Amino acid sequence: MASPAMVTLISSDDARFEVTEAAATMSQTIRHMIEDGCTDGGIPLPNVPARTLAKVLEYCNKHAAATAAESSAAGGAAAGSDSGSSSSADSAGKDDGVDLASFDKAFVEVDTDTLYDLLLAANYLDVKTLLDLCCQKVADMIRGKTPEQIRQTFGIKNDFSPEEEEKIRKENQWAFE
Amino acid sequence: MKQSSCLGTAFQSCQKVPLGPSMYQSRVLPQDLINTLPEACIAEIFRHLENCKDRESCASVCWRWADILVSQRPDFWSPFSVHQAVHRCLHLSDVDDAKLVAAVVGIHSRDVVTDLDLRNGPREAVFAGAPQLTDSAICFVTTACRNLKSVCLVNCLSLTNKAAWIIASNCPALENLMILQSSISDGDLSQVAKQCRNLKSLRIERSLSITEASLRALVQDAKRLESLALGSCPQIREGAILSLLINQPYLDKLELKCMMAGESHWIGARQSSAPIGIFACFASSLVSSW
Repeated sequence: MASPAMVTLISSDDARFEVTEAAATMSQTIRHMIEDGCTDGGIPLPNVPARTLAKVLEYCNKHAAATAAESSAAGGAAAGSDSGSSSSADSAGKDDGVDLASFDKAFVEVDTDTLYDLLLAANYLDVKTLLDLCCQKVADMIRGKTPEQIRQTFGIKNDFSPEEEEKIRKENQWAFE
Repeated sequence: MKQSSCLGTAFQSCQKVPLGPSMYQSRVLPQDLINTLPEACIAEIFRHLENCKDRESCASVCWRWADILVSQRPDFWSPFSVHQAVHRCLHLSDVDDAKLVAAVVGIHSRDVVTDLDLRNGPREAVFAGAPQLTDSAICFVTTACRNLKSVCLVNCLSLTNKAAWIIASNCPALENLMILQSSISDGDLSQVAKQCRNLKSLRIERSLSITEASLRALVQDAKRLESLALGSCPQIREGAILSLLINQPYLDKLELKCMMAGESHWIGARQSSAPIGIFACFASSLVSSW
């Protein structure tokens, strides 16, 4: 089997990442860049720092590999004539599904800074499944809470009472200087 | 695999360098990092909230979230939320900004809402810092519900003169305006008269700043006015009211309450089309009630 096509991604802080094209093209943004032939000397991603890009690529590698395994398993099942090999391929596919779900769950068990960085990167890179995963995680933090609880969870200032806001701003003037 | 080990080392080396928002962690204040995300990302998060109740809670969190939520079309969410009851009226009591904003976001067919009624219990003053209804919320609701025909504000003491101005600009279909013990001035009322060409009914009570200039504006611009009620507007004298009656051909109901120093209540309906009839009726009634 020929070695897979590789592309080089360059983060905002000039770190270079070499990944398979299959993983990279999980990002629609990168897919379009490759289709447009803008890959010479690496693909610059000026909006994504290396720390975030590494995480995103960890996700993409995992999912691209799972997709490849799934399609090859499906191909194997189609080629196999006896029912025994087909059922074993099925169970392998299911294991992969469970594995992937637990990977996803663990993947977003990060502090909120990282989560927002991932969300932002997923949005910019247009990795739909990762964006959904991150948004779902934040939505889970919102669900069932009162507005005040939501404000406390995210450190959001209540700006519905103008005087109050003015007061807080005055008290915390130092923070803005 | 070659690339994964390369990734691993790159990731480890990057982890040593504090990057991005982590520099804020040393600050004492809890940082509102979620609002550093662009609007599209926050909207995307809201899309994952299936429950309308959660969306209403989010609308009450801060103005930015309220604005993002109200700017999404109902089909932004999956179809289950489309089959909702259609509300024509938005009536709220003891309302503040957060409550009003949540109610507006909770309405799916905002174009159908024609009737807005916001009232508070009798209050003497507004306490600083307490949740209150401000002009921003009036702007929010009138921008979201473009087809309001009737607006009623009762005891909304925390609103300023700007509220009526906002209503005038955002509610071109307005037919009925009621402002009781809430701020309105001559400038705003003339704006309402100018911009709300279909204004049929107007009721203003307990406004110290309304003067006869307002009546002149009504005569000039509110040509379709059919019913006018004034209560406790001490700056308006009977002369101005009489001149309004003569010059307003459509006006067929006039109600005056506690207008002068003495207590008086007067309701008149136009009996004949001749303005002079009203004139006489009005004059005699004033005499009889005093």
